[in-house]
Amino acid sequence: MPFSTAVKRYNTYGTAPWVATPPTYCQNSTSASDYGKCYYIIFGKAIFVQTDTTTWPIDPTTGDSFPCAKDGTCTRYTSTANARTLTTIFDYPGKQAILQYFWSRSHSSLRSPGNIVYLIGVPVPYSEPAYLWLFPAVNYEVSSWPVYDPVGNWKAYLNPYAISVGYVNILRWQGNVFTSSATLAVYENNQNNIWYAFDTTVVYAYESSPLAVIPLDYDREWLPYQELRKAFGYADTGVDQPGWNADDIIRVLKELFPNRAWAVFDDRQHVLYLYNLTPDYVPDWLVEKLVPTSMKVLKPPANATVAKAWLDLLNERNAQTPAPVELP
Amino acid sequence: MSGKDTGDKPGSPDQPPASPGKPPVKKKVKIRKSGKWVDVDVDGEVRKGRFKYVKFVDDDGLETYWISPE
Repeated sequence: MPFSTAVKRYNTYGTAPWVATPPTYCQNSTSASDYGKCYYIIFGKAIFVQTDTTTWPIDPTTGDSFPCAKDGTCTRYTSTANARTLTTIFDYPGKQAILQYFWSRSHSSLRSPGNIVYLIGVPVPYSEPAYLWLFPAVNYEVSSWPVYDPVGNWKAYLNPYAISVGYVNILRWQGNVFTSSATLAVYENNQNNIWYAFDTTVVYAYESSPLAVIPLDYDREWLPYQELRKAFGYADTGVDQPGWNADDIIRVLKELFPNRAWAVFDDRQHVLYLYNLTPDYVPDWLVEKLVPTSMKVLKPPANATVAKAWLDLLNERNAQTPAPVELP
Repeated sequence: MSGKDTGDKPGSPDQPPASPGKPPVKKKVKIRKSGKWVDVDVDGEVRKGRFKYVKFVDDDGLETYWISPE
């Protein structure tokens, strides 16, 4: 049985994988004059847990007064959490995936393992524990930079570096875990006045299947249609969403999203069906991933905005690492 | 479409000359479909990344882009 590989890179939490030594940090020293500010955000926003809404209120009309939330460099949470769930990486009802690889670099006010980004997978067939916490575990090594990773790198690990405030940590896991879903979460241990920024890459495999290619919001657009979810699975990439057959996926998508753009890949006929799209809007990287594939236009775009929105969101969720700079 | 089973292997696309006063004759290309080589009348060519596609209307009435047998 052939398997497809999915790669999900998260670079929207302050750092990005293509920056070797990002200097991202936030200030959580209450005695500092720049308390609550975040600096050198590479992409997206860092996360700051700050529960004091008396000093830094959140006004519905003027917004969040906490410095980094106010200037848009952090997402501020006003309640503590033991494990904070950030997003669902994939959810395949009735199907299995295999987690294979997980790499995470984090900057934080906490020493490891307090600032580690966790991948929570639901192991199959085990019922206990209900959630598999890949980190922390006593048998995993947790290292601070500089660290040498002889497998993932051909030389000593990038450039060891420090940041102005806080700690830099890296986690790398490789193995095989059967699971039907995986969640990206952070272990915060109910601490207040903490911050973290990170980038991470998750690699997994799933049985080759017809795919629904439409970026969805898991909480807002996915759960309301629970009765239809078995038509296809959810993946944060918007691409790796396997179903049982292409006709069912097309029928469900026509019903649920008649006014949006989407595509369905039939892995048996090797045809990518386009709805409210033309090949002009299909990114080359998607063609490369699904190759060999032909394309059929179910419906040309009613207007370019709908097709462009699909393309933009797909590119955003599958950020391609910029090509390395050529050496002289 | 478009297509009929020719049973032979793909060759160079035919390029009949256009006749004055008549609609232009479409270029024919042999493609592999359902295990057979068939001739299709091509409406155009599109390039995506490293692939070249031929465009035609398939039996199902859908505008189709097939990887060009180059």
